[in-house]
Amino acid sequence: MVNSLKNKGQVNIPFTISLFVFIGLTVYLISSIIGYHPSHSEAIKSDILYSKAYSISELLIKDKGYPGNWEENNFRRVGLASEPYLLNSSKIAELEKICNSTNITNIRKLRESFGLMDENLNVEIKYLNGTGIGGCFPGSKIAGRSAYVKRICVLNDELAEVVVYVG
Amino acid sequence: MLGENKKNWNYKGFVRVLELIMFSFIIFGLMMPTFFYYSNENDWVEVNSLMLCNDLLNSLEKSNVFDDVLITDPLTDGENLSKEHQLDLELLYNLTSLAFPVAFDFGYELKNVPPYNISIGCNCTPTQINWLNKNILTPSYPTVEFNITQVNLGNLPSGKDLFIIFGENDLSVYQSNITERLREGKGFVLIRDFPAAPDAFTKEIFGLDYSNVGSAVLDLKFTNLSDSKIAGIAKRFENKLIRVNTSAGIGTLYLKDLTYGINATQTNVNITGCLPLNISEGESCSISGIGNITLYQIDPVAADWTGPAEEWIDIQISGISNPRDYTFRDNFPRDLAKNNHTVLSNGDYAAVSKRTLSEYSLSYGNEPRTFWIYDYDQNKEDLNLLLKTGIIWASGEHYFISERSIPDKKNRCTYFSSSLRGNNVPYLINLYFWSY
Repeated sequence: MVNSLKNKGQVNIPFTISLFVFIGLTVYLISSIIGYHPSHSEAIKSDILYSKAYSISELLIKDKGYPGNWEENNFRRVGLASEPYLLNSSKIAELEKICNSTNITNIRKLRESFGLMDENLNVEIKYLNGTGIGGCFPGSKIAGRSAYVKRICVLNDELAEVVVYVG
Repeated sequence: MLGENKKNWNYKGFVRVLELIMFSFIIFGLMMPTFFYYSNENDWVEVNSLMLCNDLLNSLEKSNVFDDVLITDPLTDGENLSKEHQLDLELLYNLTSLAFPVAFDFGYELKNVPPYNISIGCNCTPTQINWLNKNILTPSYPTVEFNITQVNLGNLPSGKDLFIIFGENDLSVYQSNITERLREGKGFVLIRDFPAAPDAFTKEIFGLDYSNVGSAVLDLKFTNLSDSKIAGIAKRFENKLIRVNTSAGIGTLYLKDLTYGINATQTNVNITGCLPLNISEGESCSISGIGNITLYQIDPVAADWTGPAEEWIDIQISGISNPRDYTFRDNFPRDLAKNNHTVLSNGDYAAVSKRTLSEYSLSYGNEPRTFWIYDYDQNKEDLNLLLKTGIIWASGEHYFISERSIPDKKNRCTYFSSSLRGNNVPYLINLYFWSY
């Protein structure tokens, strides 16, 4: 009876060890879950950006745009091709006009026509040998380049590449 | 007291179970990331490289690079064709390497496009080889060079694209040698009549049915031009070239069963009965009841068109109403009955047969092709052209353009085209790529 009264308020060693093991495992579990979710969601975001970059590149190199003879002031959808894989240099010039203009409404319209909301869009067009042709860099040349897709097409009987950056 | 002890024992068991459940939960939680591990199935590096591959093939076709690279000919590439062929291959290699990231290597596979060079083993006499060299194995772009050597059926070398067999051999005696080469995708061309029934092996590999009724001078036509396999031979026939040798600009052209005089100069050609008279390169004339003749090229090297030295002209022939519907005429032995493999026939009798022996091939896409033609009048240029067509077709029309051997682990994209420089013969290009 005296012994049991003496032990009251004291914790034995196995209990202490198991408590520490329990707390350690719980902390590890929580930290691993916390670390796992952001990378997962980042990968999903990246996939979405790549999908957008791909769909924009498809429109640019295979589509005429709408209307077919669109210009800076009347475009509803931008496409740079005369026919799939054959780029039209005058349409590239029109795209550059839109991107270089100070008309924010036009740039927003361009982004929205591609299904972009807050994401930035850069388009770089050059011949395969590296000679630059043009592109679209509204705002900054390096803004928003989380995902990019490179496509090959033909301009003036030479192979060219169109790189679409979205981010 | 006894009752209290019993109660403690019961709680002890309960706590153990509780601990077990809690520990299981913790272990399950720890393993959760492993159970639900997010694998990035959308591997954009691989997707991007496949897109590049497809884009490149489409762009090369749109920019007519394939037409230039796959056909090295004197009209677009000048006179040094061997050098131009190398430059064409370099152009293709450079464009491809610029398109792909540096760490990638690549190789092209072409099907239904004849190669620049065809290597032939011939089971025949030196005289027959000379005849082949002079009358059959002349350039027909894309094929420019034919290397032909004499071989023995008992020892067929493996480095050849196809084998030509003249004469009445019993091929079943050489069945194992021939089968070995068929397994490698090598083609066989047989030129002979069948006064007696062929052996079973010859029948099988060339697709022949014996039916001897005796010879007669008859018209021979492509069996069924609605059949894509026969139309394929007819399309190739109308696009291949006949080389007609002339001396001091004078020569003859033997078509169907008539001879036509040729009078050629450095700039134009006059063929008797072919209207309009005097055609230049790229122009056509028509012989009533025979066909259309297109002048492809006049010998550009010949310096003297009046002296005894030989010159040549290259021509194409085709039917009048339908370019593929050309009619031949010859003393035709009618040894074999028409069947599914027959290409050229009169009534129920086969004059030419072809087969693709996929069952003999060891690998997909490497099916050997066989071609049989009766022992026709070798002075007739139209039938010579049909033999040339058969030889080039039987070579397999399948080759690779690659600086390195293509590994087993690779990615691939494919491009189908309906025509190479307007020949209406569909072809296929596989572009293999791999990282190193």
